[in-house]
Amino acid sequence: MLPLALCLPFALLQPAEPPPVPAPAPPSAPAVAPAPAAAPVAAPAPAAAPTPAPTPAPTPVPIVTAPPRSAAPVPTTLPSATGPTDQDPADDRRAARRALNLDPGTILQNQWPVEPICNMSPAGKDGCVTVDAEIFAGYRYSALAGNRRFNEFALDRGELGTQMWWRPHRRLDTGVAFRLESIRSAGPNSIKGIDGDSLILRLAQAFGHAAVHLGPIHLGVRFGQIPERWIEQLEKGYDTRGLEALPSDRVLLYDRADLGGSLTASGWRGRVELDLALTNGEGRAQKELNPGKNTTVIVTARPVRRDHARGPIRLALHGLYRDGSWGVGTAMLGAGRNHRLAGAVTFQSPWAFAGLEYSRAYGFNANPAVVADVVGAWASAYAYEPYLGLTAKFDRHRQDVRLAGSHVDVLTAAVFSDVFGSAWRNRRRIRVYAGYQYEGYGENAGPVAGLPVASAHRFLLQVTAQGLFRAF
Amino acid sequence: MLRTRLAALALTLACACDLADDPRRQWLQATLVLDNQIFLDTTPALARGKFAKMSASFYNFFRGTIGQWARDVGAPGGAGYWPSAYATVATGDVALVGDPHLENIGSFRDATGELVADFNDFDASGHGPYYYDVRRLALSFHVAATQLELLDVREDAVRAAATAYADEVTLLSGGATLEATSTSVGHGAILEHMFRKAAEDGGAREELAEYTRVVDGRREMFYGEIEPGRMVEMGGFSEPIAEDATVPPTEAEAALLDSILGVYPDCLEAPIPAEHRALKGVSRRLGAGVSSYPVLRLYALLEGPTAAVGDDVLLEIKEVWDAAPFPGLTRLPSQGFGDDARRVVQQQRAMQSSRLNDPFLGCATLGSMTFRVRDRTKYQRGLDVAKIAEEIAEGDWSGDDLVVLADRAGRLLARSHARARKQDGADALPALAAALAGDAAGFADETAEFVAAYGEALADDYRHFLDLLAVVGPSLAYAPAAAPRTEP
Repeated sequence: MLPLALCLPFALLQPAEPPPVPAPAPPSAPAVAPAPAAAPVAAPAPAAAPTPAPTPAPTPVPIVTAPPRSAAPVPTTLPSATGPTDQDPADDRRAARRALNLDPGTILQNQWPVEPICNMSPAGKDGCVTVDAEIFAGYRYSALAGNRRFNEFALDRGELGTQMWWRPHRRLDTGVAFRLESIRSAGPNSIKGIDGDSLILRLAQAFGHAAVHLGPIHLGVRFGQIPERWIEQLEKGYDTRGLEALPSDRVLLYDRADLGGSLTASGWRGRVELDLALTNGEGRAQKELNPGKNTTVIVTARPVRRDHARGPIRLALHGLYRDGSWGVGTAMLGAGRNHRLAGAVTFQSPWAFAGLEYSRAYGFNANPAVVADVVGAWASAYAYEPYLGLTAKFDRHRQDVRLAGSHVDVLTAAVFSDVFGSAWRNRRRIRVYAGYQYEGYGENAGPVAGLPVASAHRFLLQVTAQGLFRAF
Repeated sequence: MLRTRLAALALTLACACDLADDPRRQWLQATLVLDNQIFLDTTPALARGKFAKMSASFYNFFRGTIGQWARDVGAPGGAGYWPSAYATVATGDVALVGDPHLENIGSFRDATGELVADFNDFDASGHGPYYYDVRRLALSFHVAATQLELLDVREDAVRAAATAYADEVTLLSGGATLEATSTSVGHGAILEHMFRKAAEDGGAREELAEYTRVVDGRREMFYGEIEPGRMVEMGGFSEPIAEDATVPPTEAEAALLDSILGVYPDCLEAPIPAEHRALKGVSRRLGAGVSSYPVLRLYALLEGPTAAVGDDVLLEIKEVWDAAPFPGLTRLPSQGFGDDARRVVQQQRAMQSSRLNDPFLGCATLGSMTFRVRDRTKYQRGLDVAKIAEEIAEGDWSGDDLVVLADRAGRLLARSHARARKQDGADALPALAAALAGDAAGFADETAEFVAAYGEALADDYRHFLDLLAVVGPSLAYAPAAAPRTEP
């Protein structure tokens, strides 16, 4: 399947169009460059390129880098790939890479398959390696029903990832991604895991991917333990993941990764995207138990897609349907249903984020008879960027829609402060949240039928640290 | 032969049609596999044996589905997720036996030498709403009465258990002392028979006669069948199961036992001299339990107080796993046990009439494995539905005796709850008394209504299970991950 998916688009590469490019430099981006001109560097004749392409030469491509973080000059172009400069091209190339070739004006948290995560030579024959890490750690003081008090320090996320990208051709990006995450070693309600209930590392994601660029259309495939695209897509419009998960992610309607493959078609730089995924359906923590596969279709439209000097502005509409199965089954006796239907609206801008999600599960929590759903809304905005921001989120999860009072309401409100602003959130950010959370259980929401024993008022202090670096 | 195969095939196809899209069957199959996946992967023959044993009777199925019970009562939308008018926040963290049922009641000889009755299996113990335990206990009488075809007393037995529980809480909160259920008072034919047999067999050291032999003046382990195994037929499938047998330990098991006995004394309630604990022999026991049928059980023969063969001691070392997970209870603060073996042992000591009901009771933790150690003395004798059926068939016992037993079991549970501290450290009794408010009749009505409804669901599950076994066999269509380790 994979070779066919890759080869077929290549057969259609006539005539060549300009390779995908980042958006023009934002007006406010400083243009300090060692090259003679600060303007985009004109493309050389094809013969001057280190690896001339067989098709007509690419048009001039501005390669925009991040604003300089210090007084040291930072190249704004990638001269070795596009033309001669006064310096040794290799030096320019290294300098550009040191500047971490990410464009704060256009970078999304995940803009695959439109563009790789790091800028590479438009002519091809280029590669990069990135390393990233995320830490979400916090302190909670909870007042539970029955005058019980509980306080704890918690590590909600500790992840380390690396991605290797290789552009063998200007129309093809390939790569592998590998991600480790920390989890508690004991299972739910278990007393003892590894060395007590230690935090241990496990494989969160491991997949190979490729993207083909055909004019305004970008086709991507992934294969392996692949991330859940629904969560990926929605988190582009969700800036406070360090404090709280997305509504559907919080109640585990979706696993963050599963074994399988996916095909993504993105048009007009992400204005329209279609994702098709075929996965086991058992998630990260279980092997396949039945012959049925989860088939997922996700449609994303971005009617508003603007690039402001301070960052991207996006309004996105999302829809999902999953035909899924879970649990043990055979060809004769099928496994339980595990379908999903979801819709969401997300908004992203340099100043504010907002969204609304509804997800419905047909088959939930190991029980194919149960229909559950979750609806959630969130908003976050800077009051005084980057030092003070406000966020609020409300989720309502009905664990069984047939059962009145089976809902769990979670209301979260917090203030936050960043070391870096929103446009930098993928690359480096340290954010501190201080907030309040109310978790209220309906009379039939459990864990004890008829009693709100789990309802809680919670005060949160949360620190999130994220960093993304180009290592090569 | 051909006719038999055709009949089996027809049965398989008929079952398959009924089961194909039934969500409850899908849930049952998936959760049974998940709960037993570790055994299906590592000791698949024993895991299949467990499912085969569960198929042998309704009561066995009830015993083997504690995980499904926990999901049903703890998950909104579950078949057993029924609110109780007698639940309060303060009674949401009572110390629970976890799986209190008729066959988990047994005799112990306490430190004074008196025989007492207590719950004897705390594998599923923890903290939670007290009425989970009451309903589970009452359900066991519903299942037993169904299997024994005592339908006319079935509801009476269920009500007796719940009424007695509430009455006992009222009595205790009124100042009655927390006495043991001992031989000093009449407790009906079934418990009295248990006490009598325990006294006979315990005094005769029957455990040594069954599991050891004296050869040339020296006692050593016996390896073989104490009770013959049998073949269980399930549609076109069959699976051999052990009833009561011992086999030599592997080298790894013998080494493991040495390590366990090395650390186990630290967990004893009262010290036992090292020379009494000198190891003389080891065997692996097969066939015990239903839910714990695949679990590693080792028998250790110890020297005892003297070098004579008559006072040797037989210990049972059983691996302890996580308790059945009640959904949502993880949201509560941690239960505060160091590991599973400590959970089981601490709860047993806290909930029984004496912390020294079993002076050899202890625990051991080795890496990620935990073990409970107990005296295998025949003074410890459990109730058995099959034995009750025999006595009823012979006309010695009747349904009324089952109702009396239900009453005593309810009182036993109330005393167990009252003895142990709640998870928050407070006494349970005031909270229980306030929740029940002396309304034993109302509590019994509510319990009986629940048990009648859930009992029907459980019977349907049992039918589903039998149909499932007939179609896919005792592996439940699970494909083991890799080559299993050496099985006995």
